[in-house]
Amino acid sequence: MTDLPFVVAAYAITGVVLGAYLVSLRVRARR
Amino acid sequence: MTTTTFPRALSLRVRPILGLASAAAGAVALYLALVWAPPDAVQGDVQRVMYVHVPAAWLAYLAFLVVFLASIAWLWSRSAVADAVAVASAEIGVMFTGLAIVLGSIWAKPTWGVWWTWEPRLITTAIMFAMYVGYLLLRSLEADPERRATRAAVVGIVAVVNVPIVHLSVTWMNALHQLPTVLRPGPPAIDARMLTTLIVCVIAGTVLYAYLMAERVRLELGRGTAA
Repeated sequence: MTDLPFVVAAYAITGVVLGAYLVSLRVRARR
Repeated sequence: MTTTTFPRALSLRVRPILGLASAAAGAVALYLALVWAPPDAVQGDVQRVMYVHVPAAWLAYLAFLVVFLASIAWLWSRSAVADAVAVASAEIGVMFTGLAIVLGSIWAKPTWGVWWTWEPRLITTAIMFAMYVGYLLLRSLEADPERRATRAAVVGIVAVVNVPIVHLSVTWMNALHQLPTVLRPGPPAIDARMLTTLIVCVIAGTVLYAYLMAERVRLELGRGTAA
């Protein structure tokens, strides 16, 4: 399926962005 | 005069529950989106991008509506909580708008043949994104908490006009972006299992928004810079 990388990319980017935001909240809370 | 009346004790109990509920709802949504929902008859599996793209766009709408309401609340009450809710929701809304644009771009390439095109929905969304980035920049320009909150509130009230413009832009002009499928007059134009999956994804996203808001508002009030 040639379109599969697009699906993987979409879900991976969503996960990374949400994860990064959660980490940023944690880091800012500690400061 | 402003007062901080954030119910901290309640927040302490609610945040872990929201975090757990968000993780559980996210797991269910992921299973439905990637396994249970059928592939699209025309687009195949790439249509599964919809289950993250649409909730991201919905959360952007919701977040900016909350900025609007919190901005009115600030001007009305001068409550530090209202200003904290406004900035928290604006920041989260900017993140979800950016995500909706990127995910839309990823979906556009295999279906439209391009990553980006200058069509009404995309242009209006880009303008909305820029305006709320501007909202956050404006906040960083003023050191005085009261003035910062008041200036931001004015922008927060005016900028909400973007939300109906973005949503209705596809009906006003000939557009490449598809018309509303769920939030439209008449019944949703979508397969029942796809609709169920989409609704679960939107609910999971909304729970996540509530959790992120609880964390971000607490952070803002904990800084002690809010008036």
